[in-house]
Amino acid sequence: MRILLIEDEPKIASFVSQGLRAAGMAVEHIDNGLDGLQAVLQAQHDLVVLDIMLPGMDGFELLQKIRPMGIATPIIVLSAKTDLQDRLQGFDLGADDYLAKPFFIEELIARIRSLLGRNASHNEDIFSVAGITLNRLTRKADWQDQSAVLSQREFMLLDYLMRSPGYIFSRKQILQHVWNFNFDPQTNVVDVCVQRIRKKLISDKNSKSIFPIESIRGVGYRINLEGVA
Amino acid sequence: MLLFFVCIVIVTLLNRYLSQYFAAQYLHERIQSGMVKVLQKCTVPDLPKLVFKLCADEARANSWMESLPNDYVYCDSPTFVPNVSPFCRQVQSADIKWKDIQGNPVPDFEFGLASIGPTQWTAVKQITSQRMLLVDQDIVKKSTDELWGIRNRVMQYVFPVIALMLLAVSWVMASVLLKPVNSIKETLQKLSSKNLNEPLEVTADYKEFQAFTEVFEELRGRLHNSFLQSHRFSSDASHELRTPLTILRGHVELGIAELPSGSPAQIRLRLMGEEIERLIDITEKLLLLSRADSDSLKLDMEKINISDVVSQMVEDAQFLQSNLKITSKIQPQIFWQCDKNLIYQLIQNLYINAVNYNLPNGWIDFQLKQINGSLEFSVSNPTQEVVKDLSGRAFERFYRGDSAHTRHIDGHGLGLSLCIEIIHVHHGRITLSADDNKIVKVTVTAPLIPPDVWFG
Repeated sequence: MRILLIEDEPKIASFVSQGLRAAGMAVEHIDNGLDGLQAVLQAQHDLVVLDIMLPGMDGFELLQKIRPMGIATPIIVLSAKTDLQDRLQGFDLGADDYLAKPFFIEELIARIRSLLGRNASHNEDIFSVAGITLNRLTRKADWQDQSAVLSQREFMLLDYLMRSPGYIFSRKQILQHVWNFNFDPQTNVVDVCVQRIRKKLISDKNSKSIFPIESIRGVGYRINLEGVA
Repeated sequence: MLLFFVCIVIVTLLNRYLSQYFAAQYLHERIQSGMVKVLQKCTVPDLPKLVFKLCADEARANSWMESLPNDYVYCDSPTFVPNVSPFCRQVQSADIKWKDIQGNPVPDFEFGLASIGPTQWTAVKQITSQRMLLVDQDIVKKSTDELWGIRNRVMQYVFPVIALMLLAVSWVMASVLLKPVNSIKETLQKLSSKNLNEPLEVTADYKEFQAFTEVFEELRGRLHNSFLQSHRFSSDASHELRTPLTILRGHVELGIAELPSGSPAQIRLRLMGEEIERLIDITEKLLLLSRADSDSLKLDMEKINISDVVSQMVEDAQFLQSNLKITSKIQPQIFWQCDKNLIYQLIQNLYINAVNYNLPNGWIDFQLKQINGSLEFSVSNPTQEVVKDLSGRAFERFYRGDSAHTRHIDGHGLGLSLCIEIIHVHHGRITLSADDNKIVKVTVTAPLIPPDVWFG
């Protein structure tokens, strides 16, 4: 996957590039709008990550130029402008997705994968990661020979972790995504929920294997791919 | 207005009685002095009676006394004229009380009152000639009464009409003159932080007001600039903070991913990450507040089932807060036209406040009901301490209750001030009340369909 990153802030570009490369993507970085336009026109990239406030030519202008020329490369707009109006303008001009700053790199990776259709887990009803199979229609989870139907919250938590295997999600991220909480409810609800998934999927038979949901004390939760491999 | 009429009536009556009193005296004096003049003119010593009468008639013919009925009685001195009329003889014998006026204004004359039979007479006598002039007091009274009749009519009808006309004229004049003042007042009343950018539409009809409106316009401009600056400041600050926050968050996430799981460095980075999240949260809230202040908060309105949203929250709360007793009374199927994200924030803010400021083993009570076209949502909880003026201070920005500091509760004191703005853009109200039992209740009321949807 060849990603073109057009972003003028080098410190943002550096972690985005690193994050994307770590996710197995090839990244080319350009720090201004005019060179960015040239690069997009060559159409050698699978996807463009585009900042809005750029020197030379801003992101909206760039979109306005390339879409009428028939360049259909998927474009994800990154912007500190988060107003509904800005988002709508972005989509109107032909952006495929809009991610507000500050963003989680994992979110960006997930959206790139989703747009490129490379991540089957985003679109399929049944998918497997690290030995766990999850059915999105029935909320049924299987691990080794144990299977269980999960509650809505349990399902959402597992689904969230399985979308970005290996990535460590913080408690706050999980609370926000699964419970839609923007605050800390001062409880160990995430832990309780993870424990319940674990209990449902661990039986006498498979108890010797390492369960792929890893909780890292003080850091967060993730699907551990190493244990499985 | 009523006061004005009462004043008119009082002034009319006072005027009537006072002027009647003074005018009666004046008339009396005028009659007397007129009589004196007649006598002076016809004072030739040996004037025959008839000639005297002719002279007297002529004398008064050209004076204002002509209007008095011809009821004078002239009496010659009995000493000089032997054939005095019987009436004159009667007069001579009548008991005339001559007034002894000190410093008599007219020398050589005496003034007096005579009563002959039932009739009262005003009498004037020239001492040297002993001639007298008498006027029937009833006649005088009659003519003065006639005068009063005219005067009363003037007082009762003309004066109030004049007063009313004056009132009307001054009313019109005042409103014409004060028109610019009124329009300035109305314009200033409409002025708020939301429309400071519009120039004052005050037309000064008179050049005296021109300077006045210019001063206001200048003031408005200055106010607008300072408002703009303070709004831009928090809006710009939030935008500018986003870039470094993005960098910080990105690199921290990267670091966490790279470091060995559970290592102290990774834990430390997560700690930093959490603080970055907190900064991001404050930044977003400040931006929201500054948008609300400058009325540029864009709403993404949609119809939601608010009963379901609150029920879900209650369900979560029952699961999350095992140490608190969660009760609720939620009317089902209430649909609200609102900005979903903002309303989630509102409800969560109220909920987390109820958790943060609760007693160790306290309770939270949620209530939601529909009243006519509005919803009423309330969250109540007991609390440790109710500070003075909590209902006012709780909505101040960055205000945090004391227990938040002592118990190290996570938060930054923007929650309720954000709630007030959120509910404001939904045309509703939010109130906080604390009773003697230290139970705090926050109540939100809002129309289910905002008025601007009705009309536009």
